[in-house]
Amino acid sequence: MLPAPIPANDEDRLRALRELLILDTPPEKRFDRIVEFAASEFDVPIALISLIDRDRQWFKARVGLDVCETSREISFCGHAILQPDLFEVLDATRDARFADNPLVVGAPFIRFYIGAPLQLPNGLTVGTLCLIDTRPREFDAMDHAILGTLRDLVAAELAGQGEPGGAP
Amino acid sequence: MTARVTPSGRLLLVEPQFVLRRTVSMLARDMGLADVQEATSPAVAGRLLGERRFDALLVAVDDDGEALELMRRLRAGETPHPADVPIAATAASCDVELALRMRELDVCRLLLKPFKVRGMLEVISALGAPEPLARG
Repeated sequence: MLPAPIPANDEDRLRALRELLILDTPPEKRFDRIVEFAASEFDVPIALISLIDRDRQWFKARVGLDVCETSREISFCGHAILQPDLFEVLDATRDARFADNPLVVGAPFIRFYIGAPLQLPNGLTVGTLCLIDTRPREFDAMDHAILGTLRDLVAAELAGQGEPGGAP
Repeated sequence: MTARVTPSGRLLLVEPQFVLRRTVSMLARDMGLADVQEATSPAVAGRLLGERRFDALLVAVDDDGEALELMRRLRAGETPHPADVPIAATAASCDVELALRMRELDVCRLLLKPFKVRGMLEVISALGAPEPLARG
C-alpha cells in the first residue's frame, strides 16, 4: 500500500482548513443534500465530503458509511488532494497503490473510487467530494462533468458562496 | 421537434430541488446547450415569463397543479410568449389523466422519476426552438 502522500503546502492547506471552522461540526443539510444527490445520480453505495486533516480524513457529509473519520494514511482522498483534476481508481484490487489497503481488503471493500478535489478560492485543496463503489466502474466524460459540477457546488458552500436561505 | 435550443437560446428551468436545478443549469450553460434561467417554483416562473422572453421551458409538475396552470396560461396566450413555445416536463409519476393533460398542453417530452442530470440535459438538447426570440 502506498500511504497518502503529504503535499509540500500541507501546513498552509491545514491552516486554511482550520480557518473554515468546519471540522467536527454537526451535519448540515446544505452538504448532506449534495452527497445524497450524488449517490443517487451515480447509483453508488457511498458518497462523501471528506476533509483531509493532519492525521485523519473527516467526513462532513456521508452516505453509506457509518464511521465519521478514518486515518489519513489509508485514505484515497489523501491521494486525490494532490492533483487539481479528478482522481479515479477503476478497480482498487488491481492497483498496486491500493490493493492491500485496509479499506479495500476489509470494510467498506472499496473497488471503485473517484474524488473531485475541493479547492478554496485561495487555491488550497482541503478535501474531496468522492464516490465509492464495491464493484469496478467506469465513468464517462458526462459523468466527470456532472461530478465536477457537484464539486463546484460543495466548494461554493465551503467558501460561503452557496445558495442563500437554505433552499430545498 | 427537430431543431435544438441554440447556445444563444434562453431556457426557463422550473425545478424546486436546488442541487438538481443548479447542476442542470450549470452544465447546460457549460455544454452550450442553452442559456438557462432558474425558477424555484411555478409562481417564480410566472413572474420571469412576464419580465423576459424564453425560447423553451422545462417544468417540474408539482402536486398542487400550479405547474399545469402555468402551462395552460402559456398555451392560452395569457403570457407575453408565443402560445406554441416548446415545453418539456418532469413528473414523479404519470397516470392516464396526467398523460392526457400533457397531450392537451402539447408537452413535447415528459421525463419521469428518478430524474438523472444526463436525462434532463438530453431533454434540453432535444427541445426545439427554431428561431430564438429577441431578448426581452
